[in-house]
Amino acid sequence: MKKFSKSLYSQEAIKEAVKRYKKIADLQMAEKNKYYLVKIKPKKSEHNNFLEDEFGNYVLGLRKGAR
Amino acid sequence: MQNPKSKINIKENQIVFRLNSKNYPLEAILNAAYVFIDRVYVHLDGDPEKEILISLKGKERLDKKQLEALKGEFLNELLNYLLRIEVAKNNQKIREYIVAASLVSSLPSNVIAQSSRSEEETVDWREDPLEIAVPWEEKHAKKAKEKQKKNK
Repeated sequence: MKKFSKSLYSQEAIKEAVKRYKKIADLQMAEKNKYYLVKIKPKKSEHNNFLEDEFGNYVLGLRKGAR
Repeated sequence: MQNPKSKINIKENQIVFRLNSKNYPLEAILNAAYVFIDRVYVHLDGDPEKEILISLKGKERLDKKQLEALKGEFLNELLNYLLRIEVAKNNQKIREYIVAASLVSSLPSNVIAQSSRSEEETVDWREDPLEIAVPWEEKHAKKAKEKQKKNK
């Protein structure tokens, strides 16, 4: 489960990243208190170790691009 | 600014440290983080009004020294962006002026001539519709005479 602080990450960026990652993973997005939560289950087991972290970088990149 | 304390987790291949938001604005942190996303996994947490927690996790396996060096590089990049933000703030007016001047110069000459002519036509200092240039005595003498006529 990946946690994104609402005050640091934009919801639009996370939604966009979820859309783009749908081909390679099953994703579920939720909200809890100050965080957006994203559950990421890679479709290929060899992606297990890094897909969550790559997703985090991707969201960060989208946020930067959106400003 | 002090070197922030950090926690190294060799097993997780990551270094975590906190930055005070008063010294390091979120904009600078995001820009610095963006520079690193090809080499490390960056994760941010905390409150942008108080303190931001930065986690850098190597994509390749790194030892303690390399993780410390990574943090140093990140802080250097952060300083770079702090300076950029400061310079951008200080030069904002002059940049706006340069852009405005270049936009005006890119307009066709007949448009510039037309707009300056229309300004000339509308602004005439000799007209005094509000009678600002009329002395107080004259203005009120007229009114007094009119009142006297009415009373008669």
